[in-house]
Amino acid sequence: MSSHRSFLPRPLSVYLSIYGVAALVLLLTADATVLAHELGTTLVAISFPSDRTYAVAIAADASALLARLELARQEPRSSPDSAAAYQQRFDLLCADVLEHLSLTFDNVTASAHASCAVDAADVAAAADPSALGVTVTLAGAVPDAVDSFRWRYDLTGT
Amino acid sequence: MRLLLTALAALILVTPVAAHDFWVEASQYRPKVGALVGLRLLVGQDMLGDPVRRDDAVIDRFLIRRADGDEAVPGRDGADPAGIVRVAAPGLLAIGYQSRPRPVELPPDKFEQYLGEEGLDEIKSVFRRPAADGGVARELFSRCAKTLLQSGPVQPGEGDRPLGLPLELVADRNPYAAVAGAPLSFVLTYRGQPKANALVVAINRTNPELKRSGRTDRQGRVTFELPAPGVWMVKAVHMIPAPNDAAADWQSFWASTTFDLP
Repeated sequence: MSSHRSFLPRPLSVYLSIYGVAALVLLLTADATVLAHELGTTLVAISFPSDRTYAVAIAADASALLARLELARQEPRSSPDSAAAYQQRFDLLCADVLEHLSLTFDNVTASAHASCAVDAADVAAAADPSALGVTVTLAGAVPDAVDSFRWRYDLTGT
Repeated sequence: MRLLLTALAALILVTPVAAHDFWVEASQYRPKVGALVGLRLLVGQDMLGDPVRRDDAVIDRFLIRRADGDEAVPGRDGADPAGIVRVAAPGLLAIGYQSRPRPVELPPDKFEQYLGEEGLDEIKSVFRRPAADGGVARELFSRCAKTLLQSGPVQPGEGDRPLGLPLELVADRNPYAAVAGAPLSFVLTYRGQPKANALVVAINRTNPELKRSGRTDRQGRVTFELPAPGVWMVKAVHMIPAPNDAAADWQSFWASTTFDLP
Protein backbone atom coordinates (compact mmCIF):
# COMPACT_ATOMS: atom_id res chain seq x y z
CA MET A 1 0.00 0.00 0.00
CA SER A 2 1.41 3.32 -0.96
CA SER A 3 2.12 5.95 1.64
CA HIS A 4 -0.63 8.27 0.53
CA ARG A 5 -3.22 5.94 2.01
CA SER A 6 -2.07 6.92 5.45
CA PHE A 7 -3.50 10.37 5.05
CA LEU A 8 -6.34 10.03 2.62
CA PRO A 9 -9.93 9.16 3.40
CA ARG A 10 -10.89 5.63 2.47
CA PRO A 11 -13.11 6.36 -0.53
CA LEU A 12 -10.49 8.59 -2.00
CA SER A 13 -7.81 6.04 -1.28
CA VAL A 14 -9.77 3.46 -3.15
CA TYR A 15 -10.08 5.87 -6.01
CA LEU A 16 -6.35 6.46 -5.88
CA SER A 17 -5.64 2.79 -5.92
CA ILE A 18 -7.42 2.63 -9.23
CA TYR A 19 -6.38 5.83 -10.88
CA GLY A 20 -3.38 7.00 -8.93
CA VAL A 21 -4.75 10.49 -8.70
CA ALA A 22 -7.54 12.19 -6.93
CA ALA A 23 -9.16 15.11 -8.56
CA LEU A 24 -11.48 17.55 -6.97
CA VAL A 25 -13.10 19.50 -9.72
CA LEU A 26 -15.09 22.53 -8.86
CA LEU A 27 -17.13 23.96 -11.64
CA LEU A 28 -18.11 27.48 -10.77
CA THR A 29 -20.73 28.28 -13.25
CA ALA A 30 -24.20 29.51 -13.79
CA ASP A 31 -26.69 26.77 -13.32
CA ALA A 32 -30.07 26.82 -14.96
CA THR A 33 -31.63 26.20 -11.59
CA VAL A 34 -29.86 29.07 -9.88
CA LEU A 35 -32.03 32.12 -9.88
CA ALA A 36 -29.34 34.69 -10.38
CA HIS A 37 -28.00 36.92 -13.08
CA GLU A 38 -25.65 35.36 -15.59
CA LEU A 39 -22.45 34.16 -14.00
CA GLY A 40 -18.97 33.68 -15.27
CA THR A 41 -17.30 30.31 -15.34
CA THR A 42 -14.05 29.36 -13.68
CA LEU A 43 -13.01 25.74 -13.53
CA VAL A 44 -10.76 24.67 -10.69
CA ALA A 45 -9.28 21.19 -10.63
CA ILE A 46 -7.33 20.12 -7.57
CA SER A 47 -5.43 16.87 -7.77
CA PHE A 48 -3.29 14.91 -5.37
CA PRO A 49 -0.90 12.69 -7.22
CA SER A 50 0.54 9.78 -5.31
CA ASP A 51 3.89 11.40 -4.56
CA ARG A 52 2.59 13.63 -1.75
CA THR A 53 2.25 16.59 -3.98
CA TYR A 54 -0.72 18.61 -4.99
CA ALA A 55 -1.57 20.36 -8.22
CA VAL A 56 -4.20 22.98 -8.91
CA ALA A 57 -5.35 23.99 -12.37
CA ILE A 58 -7.52 27.08 -12.71
CA ALA A 59 -9.08 27.53 -16.12
CA ALA A 60 -10.42 31.03 -16.65
CA ASP A 61 -11.15 33.62 -19.27
CA ALA A 62 -7.86 35.28 -20.13
CA SER A 63 -9.26 38.76 -20.57
CA ALA A 64 -11.21 38.68 -17.31
CA LEU A 65 -8.34 37.28 -15.26
CA LEU A 66 -5.83 39.69 -16.73
CA ALA A 67 -8.15 42.61 -16.00
CA ARG A 68 -8.51 41.54 -12.38
CA LEU A 69 -4.77 41.21 -11.96
CA GLU A 70 -4.22 44.64 -13.51
CA LEU A 71 -6.94 46.16 -11.36
CA ALA A 72 -5.37 44.67 -8.24
CA ARG A 73 -2.10 46.35 -9.23
CA GLN A 74 -4.01 49.56 -9.88
CA GLU A 75 -2.76 49.53 -13.44
CA PRO A 76 -4.84 50.57 -16.45
CA ARG A 77 -6.38 47.69 -18.29
CA SER A 78 -4.45 46.49 -21.28
CA SER A 79 -5.94 45.11 -24.47
CA PRO A 80 -3.64 42.44 -25.86
CA ASP A 81 -4.40 41.67 -29.47
CA SER A 82 -3.05 38.16 -29.75
CA ALA A 83 -2.42 35.01 -27.77
CA ALA A 84 1.28 35.88 -27.65
CA ALA A 85 0.54 39.33 -26.30
CA TYR A 86 -1.69 37.83 -23.61
CA GLN A 87 1.04 35.38 -22.69
CA GLN A 88 3.53 38.22 -22.31
CA ARG A 89 1.22 40.02 -19.90
CA PHE A 90 0.60 36.87 -17.89
CA ASP A 91 4.33 36.19 -17.75
CA LEU A 92 4.63 39.51 -15.93
CA LEU A 93 1.61 39.14 -13.67
CA CYS A 94 1.14 35.43 -13.08
CA ALA A 95 2.94 35.40 -9.73
CA ASP A 96 0.35 37.89 -8.47
CA VAL A 97 -2.26 35.12 -8.57
CA LEU A 98 -0.70 33.76 -5.40
CA GLU A 99 -1.73 36.91 -3.57
CA HIS A 100 -5.37 36.14 -4.33
CA LEU A 101 -5.61 32.59 -3.13
CA SER A 102 -4.72 30.48 -0.18
CA LEU A 103 -3.96 26.80 0.08
CA THR A 104 -3.77 25.47 3.58
CA PHE A 105 -3.18 22.05 5.03
CA ASP A 106 -4.34 21.93 8.64
CA ASN A 107 -4.30 25.73 8.72
CA VAL A 108 -0.71 25.87 7.55
CA THR A 109 -0.31 27.80 4.35
CA ALA A 110 1.23 25.73 1.62
CA SER A 111 3.94 27.07 -0.57
CA ALA A 112 3.12 27.20 -4.23
CA HIS A 113 4.51 28.18 -7.56
CA ALA A 114 2.20 29.57 -10.23
CA SER A 115 2.52 29.39 -13.97
CA CYS A 116 0.10 30.75 -16.55
CA ALA A 117 -0.44 29.34 -20.01
CA VAL A 118 -2.70 31.06 -22.48
CA ASP A 119 -4.68 28.65 -24.60
CA ALA A 120 -3.71 28.19 -28.19
CA ALA A 121 -5.92 30.31 -30.40
CA ASP A 122 -8.80 28.50 -32.03
CA VAL A 123 -11.02 29.68 -34.82
CA ALA A 124 -13.26 31.77 -32.58
CA ALA A 125 -10.33 33.33 -30.80
CA ALA A 126 -8.83 34.24 -34.13
CA ALA A 127 -11.79 36.56 -34.64
CA ASP A 128 -11.67 37.75 -31.06
CA PRO A 129 -8.40 37.30 -29.16
CA SER A 130 -10.09 38.45 -25.98
CA ALA A 131 -12.03 35.17 -26.02
CA LEU A 132 -8.93 33.17 -25.20
CA GLY A 133 -8.69 31.09 -22.09
CA VAL A 134 -5.82 30.81 -19.67
CA THR A 135 -4.83 28.00 -17.32
CA VAL A 136 -3.08 28.82 -14.09
CA THR A 137 -1.20 25.88 -12.65
CA LEU A 138 -0.09 25.67 -9.05
CA ALA A 139 1.98 22.88 -7.57
CA GLY A 140 3.62 22.07 -4.27
CA ALA A 141 4.15 19.47 -1.60
CA VAL A 142 1.56 18.05 0.77
CA PRO A 143 2.93 18.20 4.31
CA ASP A 144 3.12 15.03 6.36
CA ALA A 145 0.26 13.89 8.50
CA VAL A 146 -2.36 16.44 7.65
CA ASP A 147 -6.07 16.17 8.24
CA SER A 148 -7.55 18.89 6.15
CA PHE A 149 -7.11 20.91 3.03
CA ARG A 150 -8.65 24.31 2.42
CA TRP A 151 -8.72 26.52 -0.59
CA ARG A 152 -9.72 30.10 -1.27
CA TYR A 153 -9.56 32.09 -4.49
CA ASP A 154 -10.90 35.56 -5.13
CA LEU A 155 -10.09 36.38 -8.76
CA THR A 156 -13.59 35.77 -10.00
CA GLY A 157 -16.73 37.76 -10.45
CA THR A 158 -18.82 38.21 -7.36
CA MET B 1 -4.48 10.33 9.25
CA ARG B 2 -7.09 11.33 6.85
CA LEU B 3 -7.06 14.29 4.60
CA LEU B 4 -10.43 15.87 4.42
CA LEU B 5 -11.00 17.80 1.29
CA THR B 6 -12.84 20.85 2.44
CA ALA B 7 -14.35 23.02 -0.19
CA LEU B 8 -15.03 26.11 1.79
CA ALA B 9 -18.11 28.12 1.23
CA ALA B 10 -15.82 30.90 0.14
CA LEU B 11 -14.76 28.75 -2.75
CA ILE B 12 -18.22 28.61 -4.18
CA LEU B 13 -17.95 31.83 -5.95
CA VAL B 14 -21.35 31.89 -7.50
CA THR B 15 -22.85 34.00 -4.76
CA PRO B 16 -24.30 36.91 -6.65
CA VAL B 17 -23.87 40.51 -5.72
CA ALA B 18 -26.91 42.68 -5.83
CA ALA B 19 -26.79 43.37 -9.54
CA HIS B 20 -24.65 42.74 -12.58
CA ASP B 21 -24.28 44.82 -15.68
CA PHE B 22 -24.37 43.17 -19.06
CA TRP B 23 -22.84 44.48 -22.25
CA VAL B 24 -21.59 43.57 -25.69
CA GLU B 25 -17.87 43.94 -26.20
CA ALA B 26 -16.50 43.94 -29.74
CA SER B 27 -13.09 42.60 -30.66
CA GLN B 28 -12.59 45.82 -32.57
CA TYR B 29 -14.70 48.93 -32.61
CA ARG B 30 -13.20 50.45 -35.74
CA PRO B 31 -13.01 47.51 -38.11
CA LYS B 32 -12.04 47.75 -41.71
CA VAL B 33 -14.46 46.68 -44.38
CA GLY B 34 -14.24 42.93 -44.72
CA ALA B 35 -13.01 42.39 -41.17
CA LEU B 36 -14.46 39.77 -38.86
CA VAL B 37 -15.58 41.20 -35.54
CA GLY B 38 -16.11 38.99 -32.52
CA LEU B 39 -18.94 39.99 -30.20
CA ARG B 40 -18.67 38.87 -26.61
CA LEU B 41 -21.45 39.05 -24.08
CA LEU B 42 -20.04 40.08 -20.74
CA VAL B 43 -21.53 40.21 -17.28
CA GLY B 44 -19.94 42.01 -14.38
CA GLN B 45 -19.43 45.37 -12.86
CA ASP B 46 -17.46 48.44 -13.84
CA MET B 47 -16.78 46.89 -17.24
CA LEU B 48 -14.86 44.12 -15.59
CA GLY B 49 -16.79 41.19 -16.84
CA ASP B 50 -16.87 37.49 -17.41
CA PRO B 51 -17.95 36.05 -20.71
CA VAL B 52 -21.43 34.65 -21.17
CA ARG B 53 -21.61 31.98 -23.78
CA ARG B 54 -24.23 32.23 -26.48
CA ASP B 55 -27.46 30.59 -25.42
CA ASP B 56 -29.91 30.48 -28.28
CA ALA B 57 -32.73 29.58 -25.89
CA VAL B 58 -32.24 32.88 -24.12
CA ILE B 59 -31.83 35.15 -27.12
CA ASP B 60 -34.88 37.07 -28.21
CA ARG B 61 -32.99 39.13 -30.80
CA PHE B 62 -29.33 39.44 -31.69
CA LEU B 63 -29.06 41.59 -34.77
CA ILE B 64 -26.84 43.86 -36.75
CA ARG B 65 -28.37 46.84 -38.46
CA ARG B 66 -26.90 47.53 -41.85
CA ALA B 67 -27.84 50.17 -44.37
CA ASP B 68 -29.88 47.63 -46.31
CA GLY B 69 -31.67 46.11 -43.34
CA ASP B 70 -31.27 43.98 -40.26
CA GLU B 71 -29.51 40.64 -40.10
CA ALA B 72 -29.31 38.10 -37.32
CA VAL B 73 -25.86 37.91 -35.76
CA PRO B 74 -24.56 34.45 -36.54
CA GLY B 75 -22.95 32.32 -33.89
CA ARG B 76 -22.76 28.82 -32.55
CA ASP B 77 -24.89 27.92 -29.56
CA GLY B 78 -22.63 27.74 -26.53
CA ALA B 79 -19.85 29.72 -28.15
CA ASP B 80 -17.76 32.58 -26.88
CA PRO B 81 -17.63 35.00 -28.62
CA ALA B 82 -21.38 34.77 -28.88
CA GLY B 83 -21.43 36.20 -32.36
CA ILE B 84 -19.09 36.99 -35.22
CA VAL B 85 -19.98 39.45 -37.95
CA ARG B 86 -18.22 40.51 -41.08
CA VAL B 87 -18.19 44.20 -41.88
CA ALA B 88 -19.69 44.48 -45.32
CA ALA B 89 -19.61 48.21 -45.88
CA PRO B 90 -18.25 51.36 -44.27
CA GLY B 91 -20.33 53.35 -41.85
CA LEU B 92 -21.76 53.16 -38.36
CA LEU B 93 -22.89 49.67 -37.43
CA ALA B 94 -25.32 49.09 -34.61
CA ILE B 95 -25.59 45.66 -33.03
CA GLY B 96 -28.29 44.82 -30.52
CA TYR B 97 -28.87 41.94 -28.17
CA GLN B 98 -32.15 41.32 -26.39
CA SER B 99 -32.64 38.44 -24.02
CA ARG B 100 -35.88 36.77 -23.09
CA PRO B 101 -37.07 37.52 -19.56
CA ARG B 102 -35.42 35.27 -17.03
CA PRO B 103 -36.04 34.85 -13.33
CA VAL B 104 -33.80 36.04 -10.57
CA GLU B 105 -34.45 35.90 -6.87
CA LEU B 106 -32.74 38.11 -4.36
CA PRO B 107 -32.96 38.39 -0.61
CA PRO B 108 -34.82 41.55 0.35
CA ASP B 109 -31.71 43.33 1.61
CA LYS B 110 -29.82 42.61 -1.61
CA PHE B 111 -32.82 43.69 -3.64
CA GLU B 112 -33.08 46.98 -1.80
CA GLN B 113 -29.34 47.52 -2.19
CA TYR B 114 -29.62 46.99 -5.91
CA LEU B 115 -32.61 49.34 -6.18
CA GLY B 116 -30.46 51.99 -4.58
CA GLU B 117 -27.41 51.30 -6.75
CA GLU B 118 -29.43 51.48 -9.94
CA GLY B 119 -31.36 54.57 -8.89
CA LEU B 120 -34.72 52.79 -8.98
CA ASP B 121 -36.23 55.16 -6.45
CA GLU B 122 -39.83 54.67 -7.54
CA ILE B 123 -39.65 50.94 -6.93
CA LYS B 124 -37.73 51.40 -3.72
CA SER B 125 -40.48 53.65 -2.39
CA VAL B 126 -43.16 51.00 -2.93
CA PHE B 127 -41.14 47.87 -2.25
CA ARG B 128 -42.31 45.96 0.79
CA ARG B 129 -40.23 43.18 2.21
CA PRO B 130 -41.83 39.76 1.89
CA ALA B 131 -43.72 38.98 5.07
CA ALA B 132 -42.57 35.41 5.36
CA ASP B 133 -39.18 34.65 6.83
CA GLY B 134 -36.78 33.77 4.11
CA GLY B 135 -38.91 35.50 1.52
CA VAL B 136 -37.23 36.71 -1.61
CA ALA B 137 -37.83 39.42 -4.17
CA ARG B 138 -38.76 37.67 -7.40
CA GLU B 139 -37.88 39.39 -10.60
CA LEU B 140 -37.80 38.80 -14.33
CA PHE B 141 -34.87 40.50 -16.03
CA SER B 142 -34.17 41.19 -19.69
CA ARG B 143 -30.92 42.36 -21.21
CA CYS B 144 -31.05 45.08 -23.86
CA ALA B 145 -27.43 45.52 -24.89
CA LYS B 146 -26.08 47.37 -27.86
CA THR B 147 -22.70 48.17 -29.36
CA LEU B 148 -21.72 50.69 -31.99
CA LEU B 149 -18.90 50.10 -34.45
CA GLN B 150 -17.47 52.54 -36.95
CA SER B 151 -15.96 51.29 -40.17
CA GLY B 152 -14.16 53.91 -42.17
CA PRO B 153 -14.47 57.65 -41.70
CA VAL B 154 -17.51 59.18 -40.07
CA GLN B 155 -19.98 60.38 -42.66
CA PRO B 156 -22.05 63.52 -42.12
CA GLY B 157 -25.57 62.78 -41.03
CA GLU B 158 -24.74 59.28 -39.95
CA GLY B 159 -25.90 58.63 -36.41
CA ASP B 160 -27.15 56.15 -33.91
CA ARG B 161 -30.70 54.92 -34.47
CA PRO B 162 -33.11 52.96 -32.33
CA LEU B 163 -33.01 49.21 -32.77
CA GLY B 164 -36.34 48.75 -31.05
CA LEU B 165 -34.99 47.23 -27.85
CA PRO B 166 -37.48 47.46 -24.97
CA LEU B 167 -35.14 49.74 -23.04
CA GLU B 168 -32.63 51.47 -25.24
CA LEU B 169 -30.00 54.15 -25.11
CA VAL B 170 -29.61 56.06 -28.34
CA ALA B 171 -26.78 58.52 -28.82
CA ASP B 172 -28.02 61.80 -30.24
CA ARG B 173 -25.15 61.77 -32.71
CA ASN B 174 -22.48 59.38 -33.86
CA PRO B 175 -20.20 58.86 -30.83
CA TYR B 176 -17.31 58.36 -33.25
CA ALA B 177 -17.80 61.96 -34.34
CA ALA B 178 -17.46 63.11 -30.73
CA VAL B 179 -14.30 63.69 -28.75
CA ALA B 180 -13.37 63.20 -25.14
CA GLY B 181 -14.37 66.13 -22.98
CA ALA B 182 -17.10 67.36 -25.30
CA PRO B 183 -20.80 66.94 -24.51
CA LEU B 184 -22.37 63.75 -25.75
CA SER B 185 -26.06 63.11 -25.15
CA PHE B 186 -28.10 59.94 -25.01
CA VAL B 187 -31.83 59.43 -25.00
CA LEU B 188 -33.23 56.59 -22.95
CA THR B 189 -36.43 55.09 -24.26
CA TYR B 190 -38.72 52.48 -22.83
CA ARG B 191 -40.98 50.85 -25.40
CA GLY B 192 -40.11 53.69 -27.73
CA GLN B 193 -41.06 56.46 -25.33
CA PRO B 194 -38.64 58.74 -23.48
CA LYS B 195 -37.90 57.52 -19.98
CA ALA B 196 -37.52 60.42 -17.58
CA ASN B 197 -35.66 60.56 -14.29
CA ALA B 198 -33.68 57.39 -14.86
CA LEU B 199 -30.16 56.99 -13.59
CA VAL B 200 -27.70 56.60 -16.45
CA VAL B 201 -24.08 55.70 -15.78
CA ALA B 202 -21.09 55.89 -18.12
CA ILE B 203 -18.05 53.72 -17.37
CA ASN B 204 -14.65 53.72 -19.05
CA ARG B 205 -13.21 50.28 -19.78
CA THR B 206 -9.58 51.19 -19.26
CA ASN B 207 -10.16 53.18 -16.12
CA PRO B 208 -13.53 52.47 -14.49
CA GLU B 209 -12.87 55.15 -11.91
CA LEU B 210 -13.68 57.68 -14.62
CA LYS B 211 -17.34 56.94 -14.02
CA ARG B 212 -19.98 59.56 -14.81
CA SER B 213 -23.66 59.49 -13.96
CA GLY B 214 -26.75 61.59 -14.45
CA ARG B 215 -30.53 61.50 -14.50
CA THR B 216 -32.54 61.72 -17.68
CA ASP B 217 -34.71 64.78 -18.17
CA ARG B 218 -38.34 64.79 -19.30
CA GLN B 219 -37.26 64.00 -22.82
CA GLY B 220 -35.26 61.03 -21.59
CA ARG B 221 -32.04 62.85 -22.35
CA VAL B 222 -28.84 62.82 -20.36
CA THR B 223 -25.60 64.52 -21.32
CA PHE B 224 -22.08 63.55 -20.35
CA GLU B 225 -18.70 65.07 -20.92
CA LEU B 226 -16.78 61.83 -21.02
CA PRO B 227 -13.30 62.74 -19.86
CA ALA B 228 -11.16 60.22 -21.74
CA PRO B 229 -11.06 58.44 -25.06
CA GLY B 230 -11.46 54.71 -25.26
CA VAL B 231 -14.20 52.15 -24.86
CA TRP B 232 -17.15 53.31 -22.80
CA MET B 233 -20.31 51.66 -21.64
CA VAL B 234 -23.38 53.75 -20.94
CA LYS B 235 -26.07 51.90 -19.03
CA ALA B 236 -29.44 52.22 -17.32
CA VAL B 237 -31.99 49.99 -15.62
CA HIS B 238 -35.76 50.27 -15.63
CA MET B 239 -38.14 48.26 -13.49
CA ILE B 240 -41.88 47.80 -13.48
CA PRO B 241 -44.28 45.56 -11.58
CA ALA B 242 -44.33 42.15 -13.22
CA PRO B 243 -47.39 41.16 -15.24
CA ASN B 244 -50.11 39.51 -13.19
CA ASP B 245 -49.57 36.15 -14.85
CA ALA B 246 -45.82 36.13 -14.19
CA ALA B 247 -44.28 34.15 -11.37
CA ALA B 248 -42.47 37.25 -10.26
CA ASP B 249 -43.09 40.51 -8.47
CA TRP B 250 -40.97 42.76 -10.67
CA GLN B 251 -39.69 42.97 -14.20
CA SER B 252 -36.46 44.75 -15.07
CA PHE B 253 -34.82 45.87 -18.29
CA TRP B 254 -31.10 46.46 -18.51
CA ALA B 255 -29.92 48.76 -21.28
CA SER B 256 -26.30 49.25 -22.23
CA THR B 257 -24.43 50.63 -25.19
CA THR B 258 -20.71 50.40 -25.86
CA PHE B 259 -18.54 52.37 -28.24
CA ASP B 260 -14.98 53.60 -28.63
CA LEU B 261 -14.84 57.33 -28.02
CA PRO B 262 -12.17 59.16 -30.04
